[in-house]
Amino acid sequence: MKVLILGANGYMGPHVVRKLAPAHQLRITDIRPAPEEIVNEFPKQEFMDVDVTSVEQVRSAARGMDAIINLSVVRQDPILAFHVNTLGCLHVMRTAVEFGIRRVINTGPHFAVAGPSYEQMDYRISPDIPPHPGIGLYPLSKSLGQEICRTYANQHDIQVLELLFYSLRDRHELEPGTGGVPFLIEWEDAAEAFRLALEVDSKELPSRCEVFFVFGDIPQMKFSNKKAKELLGFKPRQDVSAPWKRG
Amino acid sequence: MTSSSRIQRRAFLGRAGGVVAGGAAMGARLAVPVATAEESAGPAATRKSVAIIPPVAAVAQPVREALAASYQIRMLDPFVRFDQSLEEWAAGRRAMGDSLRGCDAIVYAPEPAPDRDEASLDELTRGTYDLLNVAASQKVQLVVFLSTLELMADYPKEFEVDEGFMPTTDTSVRRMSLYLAEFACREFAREGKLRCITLRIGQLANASATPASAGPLSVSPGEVARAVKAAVDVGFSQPSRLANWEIFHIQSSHSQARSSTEKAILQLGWKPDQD
Repeated sequence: MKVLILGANGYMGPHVVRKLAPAHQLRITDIRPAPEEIVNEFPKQEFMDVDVTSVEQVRSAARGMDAIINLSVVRQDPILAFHVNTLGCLHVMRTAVEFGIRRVINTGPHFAVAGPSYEQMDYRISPDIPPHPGIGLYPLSKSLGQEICRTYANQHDIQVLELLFYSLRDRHELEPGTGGVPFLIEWEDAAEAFRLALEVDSKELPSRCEVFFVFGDIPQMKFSNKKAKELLGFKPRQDVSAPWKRG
Repeated sequence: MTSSSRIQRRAFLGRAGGVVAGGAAMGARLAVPVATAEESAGPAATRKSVAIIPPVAAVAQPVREALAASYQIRMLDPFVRFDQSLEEWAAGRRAMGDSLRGCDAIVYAPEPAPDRDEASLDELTRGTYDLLNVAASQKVQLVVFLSTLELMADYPKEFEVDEGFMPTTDTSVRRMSLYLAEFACREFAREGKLRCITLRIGQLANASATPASAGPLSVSPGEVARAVKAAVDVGFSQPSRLANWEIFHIQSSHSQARSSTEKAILQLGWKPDQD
């Protein structure tokens, strides 16, 4: 499959590239240059400079692609957060419609759906709840982008998969007693979720826009990753429960 | 009230329609906010202050006239513009904060301009978010947000759509912008930062419209202005008769009317035109 990756040179992108490169033809794009080791490791993959705030640049990058993975994100800049997280989704979806690209994988934080009003009060929180992002710049601007993706998926034959993450760590960082938000995953397991989302048959999904909480198996039962396991076949390999064990 | 009695009332209360509420390019007068008018019909200390944003909104003047006898009015331009720099944005935000100091309520009537495409969508999403953030920081108690009944347009005509139906959108800039702006307002209300009363307004009738041309969503400027006045009055009531987040559908009552306005009649004391 020919896959455009937007925002590919941040923290998540290199892991996704390594996971997908063996089986897919990638167009790796960002406003930042790709890490040198990725360029050296994948000389046959394509690299481009693309700013997701420019619909023209997204269009030129998406030509000939079968799928788009949108990893772009801005968390703090009050203007760019909306231009990247919200309008960026508009550009992705319009481009997908124009070029007949039928699969889009969009990303965001878990609180684009499950904001403070859920997290402070509930348990077994699943991704299929009405979004309550709260009023943080990052979660709200991402949540609005997600609504745009959902709207386009409802009107066009495009399969959207929203993969929501929060805390990502290397294996060596999974130390007892370090705690954190109970929505944790190891990088390689996170990347595997992209492969599964790219390859899952749309017939196996209930609708054209599905949201998934992607995290490892942790003890709190605050959130649920059951849907990702059942629909994507997600099987986190790394035990990420250690941070909540006594040090 | 039974469905049949509502239908009878609507048959009696005909109203013409035509022009969709809004239509003025929101960006046409975007600038650093300036208090363009301050009105008072009595001692300022005894009257609450209401800002109307933006002054170019199609209903801004009727709303101003409806409120002026009871409230101090401030007419303010929005400060978020699609192509502004971070410095311009920050200056605009500070100026809006100054303009809203001591303000008790905002009547917010943003109007998407489809010809401005994503600029309009940005100004309604980011613009709403930024405005409500400033309003919350200035301890504005109440926002009356003018949305659109177009968000209920997907339901089959056999249903009388009320506020309990879920809003939906298509990919048009106009409808999606207001859908997302409403989404942002709801989150501010949910977090308890301010009270938000959303009035989903029908299609604004123009002056030359006749009862015979009344559209299924038509509403008169006077009806909108009275609904805003009622929302502000009830929004300030103590003890509160409303939750932090309330929606009311506002349109004329006539035989072809698509939406139930029962909630506004009962809870706001709003009355449609008697025609």
